[in-house]
Amino acid sequence: MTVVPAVPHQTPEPLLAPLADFLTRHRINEVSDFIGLIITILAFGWTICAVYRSRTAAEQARQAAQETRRTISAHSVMIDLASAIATMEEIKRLHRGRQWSILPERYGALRHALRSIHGSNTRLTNEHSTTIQASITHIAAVERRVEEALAAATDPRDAVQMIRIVDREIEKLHRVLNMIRVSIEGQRDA
Amino acid sequence: MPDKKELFVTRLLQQTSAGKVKWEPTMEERVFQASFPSYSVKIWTEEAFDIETAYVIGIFNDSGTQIERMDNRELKEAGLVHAWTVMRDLHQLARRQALGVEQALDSLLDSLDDDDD
Repeated sequence: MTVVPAVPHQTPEPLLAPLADFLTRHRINEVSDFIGLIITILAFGWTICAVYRSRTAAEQARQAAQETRRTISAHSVMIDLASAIATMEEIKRLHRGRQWSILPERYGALRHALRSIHGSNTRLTNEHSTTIQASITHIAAVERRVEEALAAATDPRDAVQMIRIVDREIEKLHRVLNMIRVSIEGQRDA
Repeated sequence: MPDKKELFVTRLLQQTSAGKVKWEPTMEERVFQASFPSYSVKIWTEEAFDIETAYVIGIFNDSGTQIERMDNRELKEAGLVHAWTVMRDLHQLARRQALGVEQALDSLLDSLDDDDD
């Protein structure tokens, strides 16, 4: 059996010793430590900036989406208000034509529409909500008067005054409609 | 602690006197309405009591339904000592404001001043 002579094991220290000595003498390791620290700080700063930028962009996107949603619902409120005003104009015609039996149904639909706008709460300032609340209460009173007349099989009292009230409410709702329109246009131009 | 209705009527009178509540006429001659974002208030007179005119306040919700009613007799029982006077004052103020009596008087006074010149 042949015996292979053992090769003496050479540790890396003696090989690296001159390199370590060179680095120490020229203080290169300290400089590289310092550069490493600077690079780490810069990278950390850059990461923070990137995170901040992405958060800002996400926030801007969220705000834009919210604004779009608000504009869409404001348009929807405008359409509903215009439709309610058209119903009120029809109610006036029916009043003049003494079509009392048809009116309760129209009043019901109108009150329902106004209540839905009132409840949507989009773009409605306190002033708008107050105007719509007032209209609902006036319309409900007129509706009750017509119902009472129908039950008694007579013409309602104060028929002229009733048309005046409906007319006044149409004007007030027109003002709300215009204010919402101006507010949307103002935001679009901004 | 004052009754809630008493507090409400007292505050309504104060705010109306300060011109902070907007009253408007209704279909009926002696009924006046003030609205807020979610409720409306009406004030009217009734000839229901034996001796004096009764003043009534009604609260209406967002479907136009009356949800509360209070008159001066009830308010007096609740602790508002001068309930009739308070309600009468409120009704008068509401009427003057709803019909624009102050503006009419101012305008007439202006016209009369012009005539003097």
